[in-house]
Amino acid sequence: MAKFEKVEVTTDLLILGGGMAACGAAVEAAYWAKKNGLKVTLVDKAAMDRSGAVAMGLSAINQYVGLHEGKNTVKDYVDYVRMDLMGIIREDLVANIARHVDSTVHLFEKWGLPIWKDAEGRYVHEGRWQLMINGESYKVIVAEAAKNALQEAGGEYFERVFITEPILDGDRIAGAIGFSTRENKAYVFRAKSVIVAMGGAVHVFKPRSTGEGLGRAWYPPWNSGSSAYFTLRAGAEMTSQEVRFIPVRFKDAYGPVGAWFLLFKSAATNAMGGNYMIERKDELESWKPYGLVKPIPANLRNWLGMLDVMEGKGPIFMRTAEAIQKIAADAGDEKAAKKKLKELEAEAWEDFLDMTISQAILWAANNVEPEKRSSEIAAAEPYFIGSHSGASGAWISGPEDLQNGQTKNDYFWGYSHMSTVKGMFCAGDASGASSHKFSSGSHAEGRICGKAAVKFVVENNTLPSMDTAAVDKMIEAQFKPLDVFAEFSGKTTDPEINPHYIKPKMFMFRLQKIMDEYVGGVSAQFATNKACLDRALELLAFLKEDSANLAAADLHELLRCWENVQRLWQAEAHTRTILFREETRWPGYYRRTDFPTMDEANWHCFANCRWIPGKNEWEMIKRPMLHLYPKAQEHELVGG
Amino acid sequence: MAEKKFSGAGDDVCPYCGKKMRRWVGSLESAWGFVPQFVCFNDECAYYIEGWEWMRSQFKQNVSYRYRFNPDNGESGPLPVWSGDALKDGIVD
Repeated sequence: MAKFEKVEVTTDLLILGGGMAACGAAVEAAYWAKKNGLKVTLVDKAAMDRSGAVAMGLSAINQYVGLHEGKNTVKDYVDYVRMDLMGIIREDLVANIARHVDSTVHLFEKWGLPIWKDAEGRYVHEGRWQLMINGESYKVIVAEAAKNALQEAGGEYFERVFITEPILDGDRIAGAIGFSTRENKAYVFRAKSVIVAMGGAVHVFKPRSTGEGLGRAWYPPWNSGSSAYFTLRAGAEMTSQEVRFIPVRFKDAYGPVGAWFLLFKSAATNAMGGNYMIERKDELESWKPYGLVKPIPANLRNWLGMLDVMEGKGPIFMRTAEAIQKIAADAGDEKAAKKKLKELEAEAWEDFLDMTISQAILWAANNVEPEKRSSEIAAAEPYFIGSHSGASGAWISGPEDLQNGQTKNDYFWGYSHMSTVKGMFCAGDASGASSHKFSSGSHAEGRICGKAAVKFVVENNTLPSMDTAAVDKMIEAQFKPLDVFAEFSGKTTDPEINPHYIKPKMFMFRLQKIMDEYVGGVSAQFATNKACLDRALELLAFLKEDSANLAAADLHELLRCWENVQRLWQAEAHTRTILFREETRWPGYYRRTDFPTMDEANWHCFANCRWIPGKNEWEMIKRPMLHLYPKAQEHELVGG
Repeated sequence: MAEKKFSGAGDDVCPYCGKKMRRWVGSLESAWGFVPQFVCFNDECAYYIEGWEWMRSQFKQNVSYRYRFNPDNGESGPLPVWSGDALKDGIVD
């Protein structure tokens, strides 16, 4: 084994991740830890200033409830999320985040984030829950506050440290191991409690952008399933692993389309000029009651467009030119129209430059002039992002005060947002069944976890024991890809091609091919069935065997090896759960062709899974969908 | 559903310009819901006109806003517009 310095860090609370949820956890935990004389340590595989899904920036904060201003109620938000997710959400979790998210937004503003306000100080709402921001440096501002809070409370943070495995003490989390991506150092973090906030997963499925476009994705390519892997390996029960998210975006560079719909009034049509949202309106009846709400659930909007593509009416175009020309023409005379056109062009590019730079680059490279011609939009490959319109993540306890007689037994077990593993809390993309948290809600959930985890430490203030020999073995396994490369790379003239090992990129390609072809990726038009899923599991098992032969030439490739092992586990949890849920509930995310309709009688429930450590077996579990609020009534169905 | 009754006198009048507001519904993609809201689309309204300069000076944005009132729950606020014509195709009265 290559020589690595072993660094052991002992702390009270360990926060894993550096994105919005982790930063929220750090701010809140630091406050409560200082009061209780505890230490908080954060570990990020990248650099907090630009890590996580918000790295590039955002144009809007997508969750602001406006409770204090009387704009909405918590129930309003729960109703909205429940309908968008076709009836399957943990209302207690969504409500808990909704009642705390406004204060998080106020903190962002206090820390320096410019949130648009009118001259009287009222937030400018793009939509019911959306606030407009100048968000190019959103993440930098949030990270700075987290780092300051940690330092002021005597905590610490490690950047460029990749976490691989959890350390367990029986049924309690005891810490994590990892390695530096820059130095020859192995890390052993021992802790009394751990918050998992390492994001969702991208590149589990073959992306539309392959070859020279590899790396372009709607969701950051560095989000590789670390949260799912860590929680699965700790033995946590997982939920909604089948609920992937598929955004419709400008094709191949995933630029946002929302502004084009909302601001420029651009329409999306098929190649013949037909508007699928109008022409296929009747299809929504098949998915009622959820098909009848407004906004139409994201997956059903996707579905209507997919029907056009499957009938050979693609590509789908965003009619940018017509929209821009119309606005310009309405500006008045020729001079005014020219001026307006120039302004619109600048805004169009700015729409990408402040959050999806790659789209601007792609358009520039292809001589696309949005004011002159339309651009293609397409349903992207699937992502695992429980904080957005997906729902995958760990099954966690809700807060006690929001439970009722029906929910308490199933939804509460001691500490708010704690997983089924004692002392392990989950936030952001790491926690499931609480969609539509977005950036602000993820930060709020991190804060909820931060406070609850400190409470856990205060009430369970013992350092869990650690089997040093077992941890040393885990460290050895962590570095094995480097050893494999060192041993065998000289056997061939090209180190990329070798009968003794597989490099992480090829490993990822094989994973993506399996998922794409058999588990409802882009090539399969998002359709799958039992035979396909069984075949996928067979091929995934071979791939899992081959993960023992991964090779890494350096620390960067070692990181890549582990990222892809994590993706593999996310893939398996996903495949098993799609197989388990014998219905089609989110047709615009995936379809079971052998169960093509929604089955409310049997599947109005959560499909959960668990990998049992030690046994290497998977357990599939149905959990009841219980209401905190009355079931949606007619007025909610039409009122949003 | 029976839409919540609009209370009538005064509620559909813009508090900034005194003109009658228009019934407006957001696009299919927006999260505003089905219930029509009242938006002041008077291009001479001071709130809208002064909004351009305010947003330019405060946020460096070439945008303004129009006054919006939700009769369903009584809340109101600024609705962003990127052009004089923006959102007008959502007028339903």
